[in-house]
Amino acid sequence: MDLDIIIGIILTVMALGAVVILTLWSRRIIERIHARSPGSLREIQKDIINGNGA
Amino acid sequence: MATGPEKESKTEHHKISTEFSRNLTLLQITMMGVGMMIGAGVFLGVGNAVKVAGPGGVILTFALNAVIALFTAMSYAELSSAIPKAGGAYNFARIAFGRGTSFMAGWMEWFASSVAGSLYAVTFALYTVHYLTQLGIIQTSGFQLILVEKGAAILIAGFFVYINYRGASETGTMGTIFTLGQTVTLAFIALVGIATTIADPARLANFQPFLPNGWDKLLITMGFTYVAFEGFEVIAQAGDEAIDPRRNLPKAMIYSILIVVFTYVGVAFAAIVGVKDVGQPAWIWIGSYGGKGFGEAISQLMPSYGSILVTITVIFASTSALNATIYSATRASYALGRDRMLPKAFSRLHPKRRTPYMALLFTGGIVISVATFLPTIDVASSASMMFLFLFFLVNLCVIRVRRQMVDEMTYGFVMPLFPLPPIAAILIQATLAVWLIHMSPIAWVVGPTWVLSGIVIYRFYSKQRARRTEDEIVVLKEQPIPSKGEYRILVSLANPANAVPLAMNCYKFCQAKGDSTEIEVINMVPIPPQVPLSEASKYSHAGEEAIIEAMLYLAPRYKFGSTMRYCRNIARGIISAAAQRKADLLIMGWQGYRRKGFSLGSTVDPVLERATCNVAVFKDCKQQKNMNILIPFAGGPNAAFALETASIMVEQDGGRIVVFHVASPGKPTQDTDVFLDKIAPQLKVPRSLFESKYAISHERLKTILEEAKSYDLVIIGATRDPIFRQRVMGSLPEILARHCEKPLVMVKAKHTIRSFIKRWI
Repeated sequence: MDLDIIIGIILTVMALGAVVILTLWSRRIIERIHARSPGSLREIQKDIINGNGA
Repeated sequence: MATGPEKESKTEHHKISTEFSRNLTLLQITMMGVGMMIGAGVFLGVGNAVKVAGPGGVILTFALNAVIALFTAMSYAELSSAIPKAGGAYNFARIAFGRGTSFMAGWMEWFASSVAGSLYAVTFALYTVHYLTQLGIIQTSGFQLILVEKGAAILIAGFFVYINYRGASETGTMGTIFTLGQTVTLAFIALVGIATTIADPARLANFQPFLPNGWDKLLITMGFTYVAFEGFEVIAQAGDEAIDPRRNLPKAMIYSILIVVFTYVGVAFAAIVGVKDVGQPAWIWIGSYGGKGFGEAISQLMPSYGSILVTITVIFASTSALNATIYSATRASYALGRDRMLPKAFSRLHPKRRTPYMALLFTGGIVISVATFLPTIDVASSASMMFLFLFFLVNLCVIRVRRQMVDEMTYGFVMPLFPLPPIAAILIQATLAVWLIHMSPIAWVVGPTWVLSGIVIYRFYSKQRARRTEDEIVVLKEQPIPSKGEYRILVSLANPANAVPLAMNCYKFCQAKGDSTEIEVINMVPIPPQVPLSEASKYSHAGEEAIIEAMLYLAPRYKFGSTMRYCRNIARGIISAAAQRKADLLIMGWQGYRRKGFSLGSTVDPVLERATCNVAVFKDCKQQKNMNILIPFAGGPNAAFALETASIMVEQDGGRIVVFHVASPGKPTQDTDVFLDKIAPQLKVPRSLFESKYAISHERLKTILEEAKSYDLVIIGATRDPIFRQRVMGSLPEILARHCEKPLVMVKAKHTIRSFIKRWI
């Protein structure tokens, strides 16, 4: 197995993994915000800083 | 921001309020996005990508493109959750940048979606007619065959125009059925590819060499296939019709990317491993068929039914994409008509169907005309280019809206890692747009022509007729100063009681800056959300009184102008006025109290953070003479402007300015004398005016407050900390301003580069 294949597989896995992680992360944020009812950016950020949010 | 459906449109004859029905579910809107993406390029993309980048390159191309597309999808998701209305990018641009940019966004989106729709109609016609010819049902060739293909394209486009006319429910249901069909078929192909590889692992040898033409070819294939990921924007168009849009729109956009990336990677893998015993490397064999390479490879993978399966899949894909693009284009033109950017007819809703039937009619006209008369490939490249422009714009919008409207929007989603995703997307999409010139020079003719025609239409039609919206800041009364002189001061007045003290302080600046100084007094009239803007005049009395007070004081000596504007948010109105008037200095008052969660107040905080000029905020500054002025000094970027302000405010006959530095024990003190020696000549004031004073203390705030008691005025530079950090962590200047019992001026100096960026983003 040459170097290109190894790097290619690693990159593909990383890219697909990033898509999955960002999707799940985004979904979590949506559900968190919805649980406390949608609000302004300031309120949401405050929630996140305080450790209650995403 | 109103979340309800559009309620303003009325049928011309019946005067009955009509609105979109909210009946599109998460599944339906997700499938609309998936349908538009899969129909856009995977079938043509696989063969061409293998040809250029090789067997490994095609997999990497789709995987890496998905990450970039997801960044833009997150921008769309965040903005859609905050602005869940039909119009998508058009609405985002209107709120972020104003009418002109929003018109161009809607104009480009309408064209791009319409022409993409005609491309799908032609694709459907080509594959269907080709298959029927293979079966012997159609037995014609040459020009007659072209006529048959064109006829089929018109029929399918007309059919989906009718489906869209029937209403959102039918649109969503049809889209869901078609998209599910194609997705299941493609998933099946991918599974067959995996199963075949497990049974015959030797097929993995088809991946060698992995990247026969080198890594750099990946950039070419990524650009070519990027359009296969455009489609999530159609979901934004469903803002008026989706159930629970703040939650479902962002989810649908992000899910659609997730679904298609695994589908693309799966079918690309199946195509590579599907080829066996062809007498040459698999990637060369697939590449030799170009756009048809995918179909040929799948026919190898499934010899008995691969051809019919691919044909059926293409039919599913092209029709669902056609459905989605007609939907998207119609909603884009509807939004333009709703705001009178295009003729009112575009905003008419059918009283029974509740669909924008006139917008649909015009969109259908474009789709059918282009499918019938124009060469589709180059025009589709133009559409791709404008999608890239749109995505570029939307990524700018998300940055600007976040900066400008921290407290005004209600968000259902905020993207993680902000602002990295939109910045990365902007850079990469700009590269891909430039790269398209190598693919289709005609696209760089057609695209700019459409954009230029949009500029002309906006300039001579839309600009005069565009309806004011609730988000805008509207001028109520205005007596402008005709020309921009050497130095312009903008004075923001809120109530008559503050008018004279602010005018007095403004007068001192005018004296310092010379007789050519211009003064513009602005009064922002805040209108509560529940009151229509048409009732604004009822709220303007106090503002008028304040302006008259200031005018009596300032107008006899200096060029004087005044403006009253009404708005929903005072801070945004002031910031916008300062930028529009190209003010050099903004003067405003502060009562000394604040709302919970703000450093100085909901108006002063954003103004200090985002104003593009020098700012001076006055607290209790009512006395004429300031004999002793204290400047707490920490060497920050506003120190020079604080000294300049002090030199203007101080009593010229016998006054003194003390620059006070408090160091923590064990830490080196800053040499204020060096700074004063340098800055005094620049300010053209005698060095003797300034004195230095030092103290060492654990409690800097307490020490400064104690020192301030023996002075007439305190002048302090605002913090450079971001507004959110100030609110959470607190900062010394703002805390000092709140607790100081003496008159105080907080200043913030203009930073040239930062102000330039703020003006545009």
